[in-house]
Order: sequence, then structure tokens, then C-alpha cells
Amino acid sequence: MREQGTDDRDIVDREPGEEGLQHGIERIVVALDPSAHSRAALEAAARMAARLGAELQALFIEDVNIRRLTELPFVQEVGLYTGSCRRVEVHELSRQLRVQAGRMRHHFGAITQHIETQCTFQEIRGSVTSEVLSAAAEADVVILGKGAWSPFETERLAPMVREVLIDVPASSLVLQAGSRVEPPMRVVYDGTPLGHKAVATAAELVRGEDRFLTVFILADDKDEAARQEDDVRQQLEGAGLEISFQRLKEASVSRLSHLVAHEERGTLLLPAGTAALEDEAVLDFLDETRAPVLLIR
Amino acid sequence: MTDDSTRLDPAKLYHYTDPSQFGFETTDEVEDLTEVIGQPRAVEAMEFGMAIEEKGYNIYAMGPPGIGKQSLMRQFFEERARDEPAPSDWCYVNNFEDDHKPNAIELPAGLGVELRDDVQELVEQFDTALSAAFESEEYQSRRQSIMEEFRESQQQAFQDLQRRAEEEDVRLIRTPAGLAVAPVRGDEVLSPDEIQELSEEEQGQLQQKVEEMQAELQEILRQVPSWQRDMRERLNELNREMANLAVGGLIDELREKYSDYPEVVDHLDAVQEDVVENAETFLPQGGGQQQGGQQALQQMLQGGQGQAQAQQAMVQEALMRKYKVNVLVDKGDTDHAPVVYEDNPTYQNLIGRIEHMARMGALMTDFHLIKAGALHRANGGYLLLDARKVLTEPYAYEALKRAMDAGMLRIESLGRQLSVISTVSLEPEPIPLDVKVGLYGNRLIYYLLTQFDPDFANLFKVEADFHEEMKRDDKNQKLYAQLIATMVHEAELQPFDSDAVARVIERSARMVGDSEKLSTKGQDIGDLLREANHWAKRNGNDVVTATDVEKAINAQIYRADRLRERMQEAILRDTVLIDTEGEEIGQVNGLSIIPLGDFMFGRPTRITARTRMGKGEVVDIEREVELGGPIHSKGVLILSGFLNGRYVEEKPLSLSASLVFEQSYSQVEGDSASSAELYSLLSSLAEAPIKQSMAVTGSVNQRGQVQAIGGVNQKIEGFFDICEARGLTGDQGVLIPASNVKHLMLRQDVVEAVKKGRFHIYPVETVDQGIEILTGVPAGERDKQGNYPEGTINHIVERRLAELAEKRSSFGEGAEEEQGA
Repeated sequence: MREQGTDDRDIVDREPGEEGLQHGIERIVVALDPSAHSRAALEAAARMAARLGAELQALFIEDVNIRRLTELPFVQEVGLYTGSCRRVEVHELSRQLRVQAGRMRHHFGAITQHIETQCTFQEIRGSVTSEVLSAAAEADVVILGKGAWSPFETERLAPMVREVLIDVPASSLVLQAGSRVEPPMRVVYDGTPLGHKAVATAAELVRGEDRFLTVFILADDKDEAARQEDDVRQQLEGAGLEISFQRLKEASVSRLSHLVAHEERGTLLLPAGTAALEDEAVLDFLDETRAPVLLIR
Repeated sequence: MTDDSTRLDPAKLYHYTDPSQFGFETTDEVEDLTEVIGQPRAVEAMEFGMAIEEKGYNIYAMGPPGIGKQSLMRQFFEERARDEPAPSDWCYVNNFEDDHKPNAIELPAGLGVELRDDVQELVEQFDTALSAAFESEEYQSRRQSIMEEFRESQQQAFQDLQRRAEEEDVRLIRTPAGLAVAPVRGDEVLSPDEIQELSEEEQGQLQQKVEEMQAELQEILRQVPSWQRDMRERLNELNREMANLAVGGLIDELREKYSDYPEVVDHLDAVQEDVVENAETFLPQGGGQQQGGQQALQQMLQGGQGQAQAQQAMVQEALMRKYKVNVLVDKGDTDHAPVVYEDNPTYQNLIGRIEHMARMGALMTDFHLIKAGALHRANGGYLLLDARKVLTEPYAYEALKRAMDAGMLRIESLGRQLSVISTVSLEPEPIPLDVKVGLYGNRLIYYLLTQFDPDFANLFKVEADFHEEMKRDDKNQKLYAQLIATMVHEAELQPFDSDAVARVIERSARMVGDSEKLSTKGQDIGDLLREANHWAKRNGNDVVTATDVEKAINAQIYRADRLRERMQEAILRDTVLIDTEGEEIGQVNGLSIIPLGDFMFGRPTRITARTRMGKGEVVDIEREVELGGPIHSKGVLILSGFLNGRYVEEKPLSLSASLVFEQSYSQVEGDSASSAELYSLLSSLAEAPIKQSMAVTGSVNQRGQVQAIGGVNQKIEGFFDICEARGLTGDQGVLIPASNVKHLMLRQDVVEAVKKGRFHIYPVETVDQGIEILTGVPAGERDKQGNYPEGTINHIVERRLAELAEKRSSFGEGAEEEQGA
């Protein structure tokens, strides 16, 4: 099994006839914190940037609220391991935050050292949600760790992540600790431009790997399904991929959960705004599933 | 006075063996001897030692080398062992309560190896069975469920707190080292200014809320360790349950098989318990467990999944090794008691050893590295040891005694015993010892041990004393012939004809220096047989004849007698002065033996005496210069007693005499020349010349009786060789003690010379007989008045001593008068 990201083979030269693989992803933003979810997100972001030839920007956002704790004398820090209380001292806190940021920077550097496209690491102090949304405004994909940076790391979407997913204009990818963007690649195609984009992105991600793609055709009837299959074939003609098609009558949360539940590995690409999938339903789906889901916007 | 009456009949010079008595032409016709001959005392001792079953009745076989002590003892042991059952197998297994003290398990012969193999197979199945159990869906599901339950309870508590915080407009803020509770407005923490804007009451309430939440958070975090402990205990319980199920059935099969052996069952129980306790070691790495980020990072830092798996494999291997069985003693291939001969009885070879192996720069050991010693192998049977070898190996003898006395075999590391600093080693459970030990060695060792080692007498109560010689009668000669035939058969030599066998028997008598005895030193006889066989083959004979035997004898002598040749040459060249003709006063040819290893030869030595007036001292010059041994000195001092007793009972002995072995520059020991010394003294006192054509040997007592000596054959032959080299005159001969006649087994050339009257042997019983032969003057006997006849040696000597006594007395009065004046 190949490690994610970091080698030259990840940058695949485009051959003639591969116009259908134009996914339009040129800039990826990944929001970082010290959690394990965030580390998974960074690895996925690096891999995608390498594979898609996109720029990568990592944001390490220091919550502005942390420093304010030092200004309130009655606020104390409770040690995670000891359970003991201590005053939050500004110098000590600053030192700890610098160390934390330094560790993240070092980890970022190690993961992106072989990526040829531009990779930047930025430290920002501010409101996490606002800063992420602000950076996402100029990004094509935003990648986040699923859970919060919490002593009881949960596999459910953190509140900040929910907020971002609802308002972010770009495509978004959420990863939890231990998951990776890897084959088998599955994409839902509904015949919309976002569906095309999803297919193109999926195809690009599998090129250079196992070159096998599963396309779930979202159509009510057989004729529509056949037409959409032709669309996809046409789009991916010349890409040199093996494609299998499955028909999906509906794109409900339960149905999508079923698609990913029985596979231990794999990635799902889902065009956002798919009919019958409202935002809340998507968030519920993302809450439940362990597999990486790239929402294409 | 020498005449035929004083000379020994040539028939007595050599005891021939008549080959016709044997009843065979060659040894091919002779059946092997099945009994032991010539050692009735030793045989009875061995039989007694074998039969008695009391503690301490081990056997020491003593005697000179080559006499068959080892082979006879081995024969006895093997015969008896054949009828005794094979002893138990012994195994060592790990002691799970204290792995420095491995447990010993006793099993019937052959079952030890079976147990080892069964356990080996069992242990090999552990990995598969445990892997299957821990990779099963049931285990994974239950494990995940437990972990999830814990996670959920943590998360629930935390989420409840978060929710209540939000209701109170406070928030949990994650800091690098923990969590803080802070008041918020919207998504932002209130600034000090904003708080100042609140009323005092509101500020107080705010602070109280924060502190309450903080306290609750603390409480939750403090509970986490106990939740984790609970989770671990439940996981451990799950692991134990799965492990028990996985291996229990496998172990039950073996329990059933070995149900008659409680120690084996105990070991299997302990194995099962240990497997269950260490079940986590068999948990699959990576896939079977949920790993948090820290674990993943750690694995990355440590070189990843592969290295972790390798480490796990090492730990598993170490665990499996603990369950296996070390078969220390395997008696499966024998159906009778063992007879073990240890030819290198070092401490470790006797008691066993604990080996070590180097691992990462340190020396490690475990119960698998316990190795058996000779005592283990002989346990339940018999052990044969060379006493000298045992005594010369450091600590071996003490260890042997310790084991025999305790009746237990305890393997102790010698290095640990001797170290200044104690090192960690094993203390294997001692094994009961039941063995009959046979030591063999010379008599000196036996008597030294008996004298100085109190333990020896308690442990070796049976001495089997091997005699160097046996009686030479017709019955024994026939048995001896059968023995020779047996040795020929065993060594696969060419057959010996009856003449050759007779010659060997005669040679055997010559070896012990006694015509009425035969040597029991089988090694010497065996050498002669092999060498005779060699010469026979060289001569192209299919059958070994007496000529071949003679050739072998002469070749043996020739190989050894370089020094004799040199000494003889020195005499013949007059470098060493020895007369073989004429007469001299106060000078006699004495005879001595030169021993060189297994060979000895005789040579004449001139003994001279000078006498004068003195204070009654007989000075032995050899003693004065410390060249005379104590027995030699004793012999000389006895002469004074003789002179005092015979001649000057009521007068002071006013004699000063000096005796010397002329041209002798090495140690002189023994009293076999004391009669010669006495003759030279008497000759000097009586001024009666002694015939130099004679040589004398024999010890004398204070009463003038001539006593037996050793090496009579060699001494006679030594003088004969000189006389023959110069040309026999017919007057030459040797005076020997009459009591040595039965020891004569002279060379054939000597016998022939005597038969032809060219050389003579004179057996004497008293010095009177001897002095008459040597001087030709009668010795004389006291008449009724107590006087010796005029002109006899005794009369002349007595008169001379009386004269000396008077002169000395007058010298003494004169001295007193001078002093008075």
C-alpha cells in the first residue's frame, strides 16, 4: 500500500484526450490543529495537492480566545492528565503555543517536502471558523479534520467543522483519524456539472494508482441511467481507466451510508446539492461515516 | 667350603610348565574363560558390594595398574544391571512462581521425550489458536464494544458538561496543556473590560459559574484514570476468557494423557495460567486494535509496523520457550539399568552444568540450558570412576561426595560458587540420586583417603583388593592357559600353540619373581601376547610358537636395558672395579637392583669394610653422606647388634668399623646387602680373605639368620653376566638366602651354565654358612664351655674383639693417669 503524498509519481502528466479529466482544482486549503483528525487531513491534503498539481496552503489557527484566558484572573487551566488547576500564565501559554505551532510546521514540512507545487504554512490568530471561511473563499477545496481537538476525541463532526461545511463555498473534504484518501475510488454522478466535476476529480485521483473507478449513477429510470453512463464514458474516454457502473435510485443518507459501510477503505466523491440531499442530511451522513467524503461544489 | 652339598640343584633354578597338561594343540580349541581367576578376595568383595543395598556400600577397587580393576568392576556392574529395570527419565520445566528454580519431573523411561514432543506440538498450536481467537469477529466485536463503552462514557460526560456550559454562557476552551472554562459572549471569551461593565452581582455569578464548571471538569478528568483502569480490567478479563477457551481444549488433551503424573498436570495447569495471564502478547499488532494517533506516531518513530511485529514475535518466542520441556535424562532406548564410565570426571561432567548464552552483551540462561552429568546418566544404576582422575580434578571429589552423601543431585554453577560477587543463575530442583559408585585406583590413594578423609570411609565401605599374583598350581595353570586363550580370542590374534602358552605362563611367574606364583596383571600378559603375535606374523607363522614368545620377551628386555648395558660395560672396562676372581680381606661383591619403570636389572657392587679400635660404632658411610635410606641404615645398625650379641655380650664393643658401597654415588636403600656387609666386617676382623668369585645377597638379622630379599633373579643374572663376559671359571657363583630359592626363575643361559657346573648358586640360612663358603674357613660353633674352636672364623673374630677391648681399656686408664698427673 503506498504512502499518501510526497513523491514525484504523484504528479501525472496530462496526455492528449484527457480533457475530460479537467477538475479545476488549483488551490487546496487545509485547517490544522494538534488533533489526530487534523493530521489525517494534512496527509490527505498533501496527497491530493501532489496528485492534482494544486497549490497547498495550511492554516494553523490559534484561537484568539486562548490568549484572553490569561486576562481573566478567575479562569484556571485544568490539566488533562493530572486534573489539577493552575493559573493560565501569559508567558507560559505563549511558549506552549509556539511549541505547538512549531511542531505542526515541522510536520507540514516533512509531509510536503517532495511536492513540487507551492506549499505554504501559515499561522493565524483569530476566530477559527472565520479564518477558515476566509481562506476558503480563494480555495477550490477545503480539507478539515472531522472531530474537535478534544481530550475525548470523537468521531462526530466538531461544531466548528459543521459551521464551515454549511457556509464554505468550495469543495470540502472531512477526514477522521486513521482514514486516508485512497482507492477504491467511488463517485456519485447525477448528470449535473458538479457531477462531471466529481467524476473528473475522481478520475484524476485514481490515475497512477489502481486506475479503477466505481461510478454510482443517480437516476430514476433505466433510460436516464443509460444516458448518464454514456456521459461518463464519453467524459473519461482516453483516460485509460477501468470503470464500473452501479445504479443508485436515490441518494439518501441511509443509501450512501450503506455504500461505504461495508468497505474498510475507499473514498467517496459526492456532488453537493444533489437532489434529495439537503445540507443537514449531508452533515448527518458525514457524521456517521468513517470514510473520507469529498463534497464537490 | 664349597662343594656339591652347598650348591643348589639346577632343577630348582626354573619351574617349567608342561604344555602337555593343557590338552590342546592351539588356543583355537579352547573355550573362553567365563570366570574370574586369581582374585577371590576382590571378587567376593565385588559380589558383596553389589548385593548389599545399604547406604555407603560403594566400592573401591585397589591394586596396581593393569590388573583388571576397571574391567572386572565393569563386568560385574553390567551383569547385574542387565537384570535391573531401566531408571526414570528426568525433565526440567519452568517454575512459573520462581523461574530461577526450575522444577524437576520424573517420568518412566521413554516418556520424557514423549512429553517434550507433545508439549512442543502443543505450544506450536498456541500461536494459531490464540491468533484465531483474537482475530475472531466475536473477540473484535466485544473488544470494540468495551472500548466504545468507555469512550462513550467519557464523551457523554464531557458533552454534558459542554452543553451545561453553553447554557450558562461559558465555554470549554482547549489549551495546549488542558482545558479552561471561560465566560463567552457568542463565540468570544469576555474581555476584562466587558466583565467590568457587569454589575458586581453579575460578576460574582459569572465567576461562580466558571468555578463550578471548572470543578466539574476537574471531577470528570480525575475520573478518567479509573475509567481507563476499569476498561483495562474488562479488556484483560476478555483476553483471559478468550485465551482460556483457545488453549484450554488443547491442554485438556494432554492433561488426560498424563493424568497419572501429577507433576506433569501441575505444569500444564501452570502453562495454561501463564498463557492466559500473558494473552495480550498474542494480540495481533495493528489491525486487531484501534490505535490512537500517539500509538501511530510512536510506531512511525520506532520504524513502523514491521519492527513492532518483530518485537512481538521475540516476546512470544520467549514465552513459548518457557512452556517447553528440557529432557535432562532419556532412558527410552534402554531396557535395563545404566552402567556409566566417565573417563573425564570434571566437576561439570559429574554433576552437570548450567550453560549460558550471550544475548545483547549479557549472559543469559534458562532451564533449557541445564545439562546432565555422569551422575544423572548413571542414576538408578552404576557409575565407574578412576580415583586418581577424580581427585586431580578441582572440586570434583567434593561434589561427588556431597551428592552421594545427600542422596540428591544438585546442579550448582561452579562459577557462582567461586565468585566474589554473586551472579544470577539457576537453582534447579535437586533430583534424588540412587547410584552405586565404583572407584578404582592404587592402594596408596585408598589408604590416604581412609586415613585423612572421614567421609571416604562412610561412603566407600567396600574395598576390593586386587592381588598382583596368584598361586601357580596345576589347576591354576590350566585356568591361566584358558585365560590366555580368551585374551587371544578377544584380541583376534593368531592362535598360540601349547608351547607358546606354557612359555607365557613361565614368563608370568618370572614377572612376579616367584616360581610358585603367576602374575594377575592382565595388561602385561596382554602386551606379551600381542607382541608375540607380531613377531609370529613377521616370521610368517600362522601359529604363535614359544620361539615367538621368547623373541617378544627378549625384544622387550632389549628395548629397556640400555642402562644395564652401559653399567656392564663400565665394569668390564674396569671403570667400575668389580673382581670376579681372587680373594680380598674385608671386600665382598654385593648385589643391588636398579629399577627403571617396569624394568629392573641387577648389578654387582663392591662392598668394603675397615675395622679398628673404637667405641663400638659401625659407621655406614652411605648414611653419613645421606646417600643411605632408612632401611639400608637399619640393616647396618643390625650388624652392631649381631656383633654385640655374638661376641661381646659381657664386654664393651671396642670396634670402630666403616662400611661403604664402593663407587656408588646415588641413593642406596634396602637391607638386602646387610649380609654382604657383615661378611666383609667379619673378613676384616678375622683377616680372612673373601673369594671375589662370589657375589652375595641377603639380609641378616641380629641372630645371624639370612633373610629373603627381592629381585633375586635379576641379582644373580647381573653377576652372571659379568662373569660370563669375562669367561666363566667354574668357581663363580652367588650366595642367596635359602628362603629365596622358591623365587628362582632364572634365564635359560644361567640355568644351562649351572647345569654344566660353570656357575653355582648357594642357598644359605645363616651367616656362618655364608662365611664358610666365602672364606673356605669353618665358621665354628661354641662348645659346651662356650668357646669357639681354634682357627674358626668366630673364634678369630671373638679373640680380635677381646684384644681391642683390652687395648681400649688400657688406653682409657692411661688417659686417666695423665689427667691425674
